Formats: sequence, structure tokens, C-alpha cells
Amino acid sequence: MKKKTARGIDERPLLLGGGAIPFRRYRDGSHWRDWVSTAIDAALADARLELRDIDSVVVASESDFFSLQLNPGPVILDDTGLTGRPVVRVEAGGASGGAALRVAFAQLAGGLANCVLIAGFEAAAGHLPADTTRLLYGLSFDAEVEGMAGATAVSLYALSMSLHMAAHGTTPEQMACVSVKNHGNAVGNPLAHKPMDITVDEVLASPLISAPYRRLDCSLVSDGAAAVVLARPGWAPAASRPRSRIAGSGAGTDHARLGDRAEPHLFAAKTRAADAAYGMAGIENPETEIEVAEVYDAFTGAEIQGIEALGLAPAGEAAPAMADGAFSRTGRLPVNPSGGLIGQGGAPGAVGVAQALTVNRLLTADTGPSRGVIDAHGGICTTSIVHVLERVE
Amino acid sequence: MMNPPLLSLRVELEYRHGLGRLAAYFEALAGGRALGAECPDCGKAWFPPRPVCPVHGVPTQARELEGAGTVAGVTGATGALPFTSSKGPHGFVLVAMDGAVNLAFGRLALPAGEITVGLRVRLAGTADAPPHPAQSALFVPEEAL
Repeated sequence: MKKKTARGIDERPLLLGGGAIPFRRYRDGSHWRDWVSTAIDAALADARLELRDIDSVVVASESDFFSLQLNPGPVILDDTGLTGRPVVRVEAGGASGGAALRVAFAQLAGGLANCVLIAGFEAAAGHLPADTTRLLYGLSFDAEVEGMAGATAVSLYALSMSLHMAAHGTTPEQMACVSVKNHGNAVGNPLAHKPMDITVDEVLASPLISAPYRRLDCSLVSDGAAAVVLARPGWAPAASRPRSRIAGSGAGTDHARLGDRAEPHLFAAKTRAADAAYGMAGIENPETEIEVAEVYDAFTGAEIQGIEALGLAPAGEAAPAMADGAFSRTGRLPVNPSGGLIGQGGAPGAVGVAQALTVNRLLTADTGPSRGVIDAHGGICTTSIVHVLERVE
Repeated sequence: MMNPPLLSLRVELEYRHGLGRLAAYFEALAGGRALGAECPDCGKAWFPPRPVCPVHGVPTQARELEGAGTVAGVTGATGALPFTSSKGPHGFVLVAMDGAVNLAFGRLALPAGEITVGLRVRLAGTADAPPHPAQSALFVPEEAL
């Protein structure tokens, strides 16, 4: 199904190019503004565009506690020579990057812009001690009722996953396969924070953080920046190479408090978002029609929950399929070929943008998938944003 | 230029923080009471309270629950509670309170390894006022009472 205007032109936005800096803990004296400038320069070069081609900017960043900069949009414009363009900063927790893509999609679809630069960043790792970051992330849920009571990301995700294990028999060994896969996928990824060849036994032997989650079940806290350029097909320069486009965009939410959800082991917001994105893209059977996925793997179990919520495996079947290699690079549906948050890195504002970079690269290669899904969420899948990308010849 | 310098900047923020319409919930919590809310249309109750019924979209009314419930989920974690130096370990639970349709997040005054799903617990509150009243969401096993 194609979304056409009255003139019969498919106006779904094209991804013209992108760039990113490696996800790391930066303690070299660099500044997030340096990182963003580098990513933007790389994106414009990859898209073969000039500054004058950009007529709107969307910035994604989760927390000013990390950056010590409120309203970061204008300083980014000043740093890059884009002052004067409209800029909005988007925040949706870990879905901030995905939200920025969606806002850009809406600007282009609504005729507010022809060419939008999306820049996502986060200074989550090098700026503050780990304990402080943990407490701040604990404010991502119901801060007043749960965050102040001591709830942290890992404890809430752990509670959700413990219920998934009770419902479906998911095992720590199956969850560990996600960590092995994603750290392994990160090997050879120049952007990756923690590329490692590890085993299931090593994951199971890592320190217990919040049962069932061990250290190697957890995503990384990273610094990072990524940028992409989206444009209206009617405006975009003629293509000299294959491109991809955003074929579908969907968003959804769930109750902020895990305990208020009818089934706390399910990522219902992700299913809502995916249904909307698939509907726009004309996908009826994602299990067979999606060929690659970048899924928000805040924890190993969250990738399993996410795969099921995205309709890429039936309920309760993602974990055994994971252990059988179904989601490896050579499996039936590669999930997180970049390494995801567990292997590539977790810089919330940048993740959703980096997911688009990864899938775009795969879709525009000489061989490989032609349709993929990217998925980012905030909170404990409280806010979910899903996009379908497809190759355009 | 060699690597730019790294500065050490200390930010201390002291808030005058109001609890708004959650104040009654927190006051009851401190006293070991479960003040929830119910929908006047369907009669369903939530603890912690929801200001609006998610089904009927109408404002809820305060309703105190009996204060006992059943552990539905358990995990443990170390790390200080906000504004404290108490590093735990803490046993965190989701509790299905008797009379409520949702699950309440809180701590159980037991090591996580000794907490099982299905354990009957009761809201106990805290003897000393914690830095934030949310930390009074403390449960004890009913068999210990």
C-alpha cells in the first residue's frame, strides 16, 4: 500500500543520509556540542547536502541533568551555522530519538518543511557518577510515587520480566542469548561501546543486579550523538544510489506505573505503535514481511518482550527462538545487528536516530533486507515509537 | 591542543516540593494506611490512587483499603534510596492489594531471596519520616504480625 497525495506521488519521507559518533563514556574533555557537530557534519556529507538545504531541525535529548543545557536547539544551530531555522527539542525518555523522527515525518507530511535535520545526543555516561545517573533514570517512571520510593529502571524492568518468565517459562539462559548476540554483533561496529565475544555462561556468572537481571543482561549507559536527514521526495535531489524511506510511523503509550497495567509483562504500548506503523506501511504479517529489526533492548528480557510486542514472534515464543538463533545475523530475522543498547550503546537521545542509520545502511546495501523496523521506547515501554523503513530503488 | 580540561562542577539543588493532590495518599502511607481511589461509575479501586478512571474517564473518589495484599512480583536491588545513604539491599515488590485492581510498588522488610510470589503482606508504614513519603510504601509479612 502506498500513501499517495492527490497527484499520485508517494510523499513518505526519504532518508538522504546520516552520521554518528562512537558510543562511549567520554572523559577526554570533549563536550556534547562537539559530538553533535561531528554527527551533523557527517550526516550532511553523507546526504551530499549543504547547510542551506536544511529548513528545519529537530533535536532529541532526554535530560538536561546530563547536559547542563536547557533548550539545546538554538546552541546547536549556532554551533553548526543553522541559526534562523525553526528548531524543536523532543523528549520521550529513551524514545526521544524515535520521537524526533516522528516529528520530522509530521513536519514533512504537513508541508512545514522540505528537508529536516534530526540530531539526537546524550551525555549520560561521562558526566555524572553511575549512582546519580541511576537515580535520575528512576525519575523516568512515576517519579513521585515510585521513583522517590526507590524504583529504578532495572528493578521495574526486572519485575516486568519476572512476570513474563512466570507466564511463559522464559529462562535466564534464553535471556543471556540476547546479550551474547548483541555484544557479538557489536564486534566490527565502529560505533559500538562494548563489542565483546562472550558466552551464555559468562552472562549467567556476571553479578546479580536485580533478579533476574545480571550485569551482562543490562544495556549500557553511554554518551553519543547521531544525525540523519529526512526530505520530501518531491524536493529531494536525484538519487545517485539506493535510498530508504520511512514507510510507516506509529506511536503509543501505556500506564506510567507498571502495576497499573492489566498485564505488566506485556509491552502494550509497543504493540499499539507497531500496529499503526505497519498499517501505514501496508504490512499485514510482520513476522514474514519485516526482514531486519533494531529493537529497544534496555535489558535482555526487554528485547524478548519487544520482539513479541512488535509481532515478530508469537507471545511466549521469542525466547526459545532466540536460543535457536532465529534472531542472529544469519537467522530468519536479524534483530539488533548493530549490537543494540546492550552492545552498541545506550545514549537515549541518540539511540532512535542511530537505529535509523543502521537499518538505512542495511536497506541500501547491494544485497540484504529491503524492509525493516526500528523501535524505541521510554520508561518501561511507557511511550513507544515505531517506524518501518523500506528500500527505494 | 592536548585533551581539553575536565572540570569538576558540583550542583546542589534544594527544592521546595509540594505533593499536591497526592498529599493525602502519602499522609496515609506514612501511617501505614492504604488510601486508594475508586471510580463512582464502575466501583473499581486503585492503590496507589488514579485521579481519573482509565475506563470511564471520570474523577475518582478516595477510598481506604484494608491494607493487606498478596505479593505478585519480587526483585531485589542494592543502591541508595533517593535522598538517603541506605544502600540496602532492598526487596522490591508488586503487591495486589485486597480490593484494588492494580498492583502497588513498594519495599518488603525482608531480603529479596526470602520473598515469594503469593506471600501475604500488610502495609506497615515507617516509624520515622523518610526524606520522601513514597519511601513509606513498606510492607511486612502478615505472619509476622
